[in-house]
Amino acid sequence: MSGRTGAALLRAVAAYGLSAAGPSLPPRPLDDGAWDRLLAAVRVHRLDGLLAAAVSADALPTTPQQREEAARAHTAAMATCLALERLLCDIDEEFDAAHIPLRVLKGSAFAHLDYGDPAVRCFRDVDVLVPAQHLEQAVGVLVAAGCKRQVPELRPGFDRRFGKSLTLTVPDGFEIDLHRTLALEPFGLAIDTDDLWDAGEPFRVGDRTLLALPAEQRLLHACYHAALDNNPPQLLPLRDVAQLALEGVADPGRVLVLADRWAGAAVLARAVREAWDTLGVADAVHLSEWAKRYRPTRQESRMLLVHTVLGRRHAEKAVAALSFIPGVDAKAAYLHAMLLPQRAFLRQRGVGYSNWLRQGVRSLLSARHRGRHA
Amino acid sequence: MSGWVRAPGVLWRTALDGAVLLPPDADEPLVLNAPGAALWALLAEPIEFDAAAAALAEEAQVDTERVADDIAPLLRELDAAGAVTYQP
Repeated sequence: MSGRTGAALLRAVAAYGLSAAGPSLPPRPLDDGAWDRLLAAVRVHRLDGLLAAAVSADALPTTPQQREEAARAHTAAMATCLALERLLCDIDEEFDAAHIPLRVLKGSAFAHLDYGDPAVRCFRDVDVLVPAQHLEQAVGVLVAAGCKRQVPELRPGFDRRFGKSLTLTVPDGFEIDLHRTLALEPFGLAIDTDDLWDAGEPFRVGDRTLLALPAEQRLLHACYHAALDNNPPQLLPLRDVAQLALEGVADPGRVLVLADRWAGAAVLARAVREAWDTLGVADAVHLSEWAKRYRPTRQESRMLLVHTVLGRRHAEKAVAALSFIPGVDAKAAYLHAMLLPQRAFLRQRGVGYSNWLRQGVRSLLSARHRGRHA
Repeated sequence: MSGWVRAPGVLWRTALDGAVLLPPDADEPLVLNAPGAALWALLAEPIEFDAAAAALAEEAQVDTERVADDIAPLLRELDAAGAVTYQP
């Protein structure tokens, strides 16, 4: 099996179960080498659940040994998901006692609400959203429970005012992403976070009822994650986009209204187009037709570029973010934090203050150069 | 209705060829094979031991006594792990 064939096979696994998906699964068992490579790639991309579903339905024929290996991998992935859901229930209970509202994001919420069987959607961390005004309190609750913050705050108060999320590590090694919003700046700052606190959609985990975002916000979050968090977009996030757009209950009209209000139409279009192209989805729905026609504005293209090509260049992100920060005081506070991070942050990043500043100036100059030649 | 039933708070998933359970106080997950998963499915509602054995025997087209012998230790294990409870 060549690299290209292997990639097509992995895409076929990622698309399994979608109606009229493009890449097809092989009609007979793979040879052992190809199977081993597929299984390793499935694990990396968290597609164990989709592989198990395909094997179970005999859509992907296997030898008895291959089936046993797929079952073992799926069982291990499910054991991880259950341990994470126990952690999620514990967090929900702690936050409930501290009167901190919470919404479950991505993994567990998608698994229970958007896939027919939660065993199909694997995840490896816990993502929760809390209101900005409760963020510091939420960190305190988790630290008191033994969690450790991975990266210090850029400057005190930055996360609450401008941040996307912060990550804490649980003593047993799991990670909790505590979100204020759904994306990094600049897109994250354009999201009206009040929209994230519309009535949550309930789902049961054990004997607890947890709340997720409403269907439209969930679909948009899947799009932000797929289109912005990795370049090129990864398979499971793209599957989430297709799954929620095709099988979910989100009202496409409301999704477009929210995307427009959040200055995220280009993100929605990019995610849906990538999902349809990569997974070879044949079904046309309102959003896929809209995405095909959508042409981003110059500003949207620049914002997408900041996320997708320029990666972690903080200076360019900062410049793009400024237009979404209301008021001179807030703009000044944001710039102050970007220019003068606290020592603990720089120490953890392994960079000195002068290097941080030099990197920023260099990326700003190259941004200006690109701007002139655009 | 009386009988054996899943204990509250047990987290679980179906797995390829079985099921995975995580009872509230367990350190490690319990992995059930396909017949174990079939029993777990029945335990969604309270069911007496004999009725569970009969239902599984009918589904698998085998002798009820043989199934009863097979599921008795499994039910004991699930009970000991806190995954099931008897509802009087």
